[in-house]
Amino acid sequence: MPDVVELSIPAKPELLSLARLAVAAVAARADFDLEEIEDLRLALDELCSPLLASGATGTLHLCYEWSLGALRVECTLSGTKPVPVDDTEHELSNRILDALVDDHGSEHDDAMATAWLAKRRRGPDGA
Amino acid sequence: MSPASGSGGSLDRFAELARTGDPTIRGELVEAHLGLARHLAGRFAQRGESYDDLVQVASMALVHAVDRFDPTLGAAFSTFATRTILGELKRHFRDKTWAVRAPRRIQELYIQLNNIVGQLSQELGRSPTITELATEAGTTDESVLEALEAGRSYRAASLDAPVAGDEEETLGDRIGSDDGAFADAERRAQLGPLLLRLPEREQHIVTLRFAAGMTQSEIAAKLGISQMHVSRLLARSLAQLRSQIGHQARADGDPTA
Repeated sequence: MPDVVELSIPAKPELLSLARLAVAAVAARADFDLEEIEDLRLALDELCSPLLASGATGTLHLCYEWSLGALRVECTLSGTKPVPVDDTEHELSNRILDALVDDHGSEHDDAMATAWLAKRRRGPDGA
Repeated sequence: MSPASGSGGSLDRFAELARTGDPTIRGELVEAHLGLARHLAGRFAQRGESYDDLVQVASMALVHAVDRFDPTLGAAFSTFATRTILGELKRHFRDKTWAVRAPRRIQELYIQLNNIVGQLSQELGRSPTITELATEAGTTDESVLEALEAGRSYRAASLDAPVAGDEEETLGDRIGSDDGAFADAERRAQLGPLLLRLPEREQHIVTLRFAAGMTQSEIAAKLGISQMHVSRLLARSLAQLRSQIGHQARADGDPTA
């Protein structure tokens, strides 16, 4: 059974530090090492920044789900019309997330935008 | 006669200050209430800022309160001053502590960690865990996490300054990840022009991390800087890329921009 932590913050870029702090804390509990945690913090920035682009309002809900050696984070922006993401930026974000986490994705409709990432701990042999 | 002799006396002095603007009276009133400023500063002392700095903030607020207090409005000076001083202390924490710099305790821990990370990585032959870092630094997991997060804002002002004296190579033999970053050369090429907008060293680091698929430790070893420095440079570069793309998108979409 994975553990779950949920966090809701106003959709303001300056409050993303709380989301990063939470992902680092949760990842430490899931036994990730420092470098993986640094990657996760970068990845969370990358995941959430497009949602918060151009002065979005509303609330950002973050759901952190983890078990030993595995972590999944889902971010949902609600209470506002999502800002359409520029293609180049989307492309860049995807490239960066590819390198930082094992799996990620995003989807949006008129009411809300969701993005998620998942990362597994490296094995002792670097696998 | 004043109903309450203590504050009434004080009120008289305020009336006199308002009338004469005598700096001696001003100084006397400030000094008479320094205890209040110190007391209020003490209530914020457990948040990582030095007590002396807080007393200074509170004392400056007290001086402003003395200057702005209007005895004819009938409120006690201590009430007015308390509100002014608390407001200033809160603003100090809101504006300075997080936006500009981390609390000193956290700054020091961050610098300490920067050295410990290199040292432990070498000893262990892998990236350390948060608990290992906390044990080595003699602090808690929570403080380590806080310091890592604060490291970003702390360094935002002067990213190019060296963090600590001795940034040595570690983990040169770390095996690269197989994240498939080599796979799609064409898509990678599209990002090329964007990268050119970054300073040369940042271009290099971003390329190594996201195109060549090297780990932060490998990049650190290759460039002879610490892994935490690589992490900061990556975070800053990505933020810079994002904001430039944003500008470009706005400029493209709106010919008047």
